[in-house]
Amino acid sequence: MNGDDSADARRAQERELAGLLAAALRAGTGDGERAAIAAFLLARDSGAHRTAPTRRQDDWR
Amino acid sequence: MGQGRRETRRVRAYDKELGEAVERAQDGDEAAFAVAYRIVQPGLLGYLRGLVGDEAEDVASDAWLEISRDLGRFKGDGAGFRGWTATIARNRALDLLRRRRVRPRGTALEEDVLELPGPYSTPDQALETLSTEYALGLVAGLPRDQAEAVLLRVVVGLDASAAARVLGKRPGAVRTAAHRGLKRLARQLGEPT
Repeated sequence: MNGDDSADARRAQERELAGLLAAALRAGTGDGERAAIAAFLLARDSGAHRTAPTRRQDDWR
Repeated sequence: MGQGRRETRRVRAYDKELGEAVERAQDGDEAAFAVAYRIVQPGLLGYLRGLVGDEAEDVASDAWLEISRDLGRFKGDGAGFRGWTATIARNRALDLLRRRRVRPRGTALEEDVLELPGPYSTPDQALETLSTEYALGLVAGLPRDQAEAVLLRVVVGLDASAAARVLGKRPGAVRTAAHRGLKRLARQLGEPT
């Protein structure tokens, strides 16, 4: 019996599972890209991107 | 073993490229905005599938309208942008769930673990690949805090502190919840059904 080995094996299994979940759930991107870009252009051209202040929830530095 | 680990690394591999794209998009570069969208959207959509099931694409579209509009407000790097966008998407998803009030069909997190679709006959089979539906069924069987922690860490690719900020919890709590969730799923997959 080696407890470390089985803990390592469990961790490896969990990492593997994490990767499989990511692969399964990240499938496809939908078709919202054009709408998102249109909204981006609208905001950009109205100057919103330059004038809207950074709130606490927008600061991820 | 290899595929899963590669995928985990791949999720976070684009953070530098993402940070640069966001910066250029904030300067008005439309193509750079499209790059950021394509990097972020798979994880965001995966997270939303876990939260609102079938309506994930609609919620993601709403979230992107807000992201596009408020892009100038954001400050941070690529990893920060993942966190910021995940917070916006989560708020939209919670709005939807509140509006519904009743348990909606297709809300993955609230479905019963006993309704897991298409169980595999052996653990080996299950660990080669997972379908989206099967993965959603697995996540749906977790307590909500574990499910969200797993989705944010694994599918969106956030580190523990960013995931904690999205959820309004401490990083240690999110780390523990993600670990417990994965452990529970690994145990489930290891048991014959």
